[in-house]
Amino acid sequence: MIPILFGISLLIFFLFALMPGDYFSSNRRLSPQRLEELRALYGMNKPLIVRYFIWLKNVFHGDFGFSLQHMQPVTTLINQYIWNSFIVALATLFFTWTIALVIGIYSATKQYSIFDRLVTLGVFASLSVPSFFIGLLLIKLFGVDLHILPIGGMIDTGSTTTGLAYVLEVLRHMILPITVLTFLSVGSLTRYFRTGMLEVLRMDFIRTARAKGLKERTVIFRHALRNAILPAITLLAFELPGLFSGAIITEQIFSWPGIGRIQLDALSARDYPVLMTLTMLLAFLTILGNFLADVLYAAADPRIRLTKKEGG
Amino acid sequence: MEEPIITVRNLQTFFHLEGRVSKAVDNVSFSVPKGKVICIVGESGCGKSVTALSLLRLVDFPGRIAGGEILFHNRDILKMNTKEIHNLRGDKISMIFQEPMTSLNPVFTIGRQISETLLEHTLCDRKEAWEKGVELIKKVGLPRAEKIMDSYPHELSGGMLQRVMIAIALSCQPELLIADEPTTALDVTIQAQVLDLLRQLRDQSDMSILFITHDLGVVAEIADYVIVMYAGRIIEEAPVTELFRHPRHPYTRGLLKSRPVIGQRRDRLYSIKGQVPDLSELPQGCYFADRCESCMEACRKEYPESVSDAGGHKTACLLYKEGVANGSTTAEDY
Repeated sequence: MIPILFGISLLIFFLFALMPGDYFSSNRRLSPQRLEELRALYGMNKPLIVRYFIWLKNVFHGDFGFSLQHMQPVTTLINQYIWNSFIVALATLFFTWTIALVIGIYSATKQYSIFDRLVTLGVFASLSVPSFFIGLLLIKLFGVDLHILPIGGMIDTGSTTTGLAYVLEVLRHMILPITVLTFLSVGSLTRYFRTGMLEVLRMDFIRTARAKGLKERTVIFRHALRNAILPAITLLAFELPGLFSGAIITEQIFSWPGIGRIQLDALSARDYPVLMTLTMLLAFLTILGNFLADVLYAAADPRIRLTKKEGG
Repeated sequence: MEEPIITVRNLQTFFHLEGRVSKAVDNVSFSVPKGKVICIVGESGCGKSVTALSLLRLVDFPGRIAGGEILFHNRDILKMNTKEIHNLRGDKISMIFQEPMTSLNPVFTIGRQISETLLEHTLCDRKEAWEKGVELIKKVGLPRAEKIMDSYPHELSGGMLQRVMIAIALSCQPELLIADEPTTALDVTIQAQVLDLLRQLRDQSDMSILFITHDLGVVAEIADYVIVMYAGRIIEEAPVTELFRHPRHPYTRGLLKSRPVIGQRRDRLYSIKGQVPDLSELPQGCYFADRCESCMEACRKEYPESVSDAGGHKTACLLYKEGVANGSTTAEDY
């Protein structure tokens, strides 16, 4: 894990450092002399390799740089916004997985039924509708026409609520973004569970379970389900970075103060420390997720045990 | 014959695929007497496995049992409701399959999979079921039973797993054991052991066995009575010695001729030319007509009815129909 992280840090640093231009170069009012002064001030005139080690040393001390655009340390900035994205992503993850699991498995057991066909239709709708369309549609419907949900933001404008009222207010603002995100990701996952379940239901041991006289419910929920969701562990672990990466388009539509928007702003302002830190964070989470998947898989699947048991 | 425990009458199991109907099992009738071993033989795709699965209504979509009746102690299995069929499966009638390696659930221990059947069908608690499981494992001749109870399927060999499958099948002392090619996936020495075990178990209890195989060597080992199937129909049936001594149907004779015989050196084994016909486009006449060496004009016109002789040897072939030039070729020379 550690060597991979070093490799990633190299890659990330040089990718961003070698990109032409920096935060100051788009500001035309700066004279060349002033530009040089500023660059020297922020250490941008040193050789690349030196800059890398300075950056690395700072990272080890928990200092990920300073955002010139926001005029505060990157960690403070990210800490401020990332949790907004996190709560939305977590809720979305929960709903997506619950809905996909239930619908996917139910439609697999009723393959070719009307319900199954409707699910397939819904899956393709979910896969093909773009987020800005469904987002705007929902805003128009619930926010503008029906006036039951806020059209955007995290709290009402000028709101001063605290405590429970504040929580409820945020929750109300979360409904639409979560709905959109869930709708968008539920399709492929439903399809995944449906396929996985169908595959398992065709296996020999399911026939054995039926031949033993077990009830259909037992066959499906005890014998099939366990095998069908095993591969999903890997998938779940890969959702870990997704929890912190924010949803750029959806956050934009609902003006949700999340990390996705910060990333986009940082990109257009060439605020590289922010981007580097976020990329580094996501890379770390991906590796961590991968590692967790291996551990979880070994715990859940007896065929993959780290300690080798003596065979019969 | 004694009172049969299961009687199949005119069983039809069809597969509906892309608008076509494959008659996997068509008009199959037979019965299994108490304590006997009945073998169904035939080449791949002749409907023997589907027949076996139909007995427990385990045929998967798109297969469907289209007609007939399966009487188990004079109750029609095909008319039973879900609860009744669940009570029958694994308790009165149990089944073992061809691939022991994939027939057990990989994520549960052997012990759990054995006690599961007991918990479902008998009044016992987990501990009793577990102890009964240990006994069963010992009964099927596996050493270190407690250890095996704690093992997962991937930790055991194919032969051991088939013994475990047999243990599961025996757990509720069934009246009928359906064995769908239980030795096909095993190597020869293990095959012999598993056959011995089955025979032994049959002798110990009064269990009947319906044994599905394509291996005539296995048939000779274990069967009391043999049913030969071809393209979804029974074409010949007789007690085992009678069938091996006097095979009648040209197909049966071909099957027996294509066996290797110890002590005889032949460059090439005999093989029946041609292939099993497409089950969705069966000809009007005898299904075997195209491959038959003694095919006659009449064979292509109607499907021959099964004719029984005095000894209970039944053959569905025009050669043996009364009035038609009798096949003088009895099979003395095989």
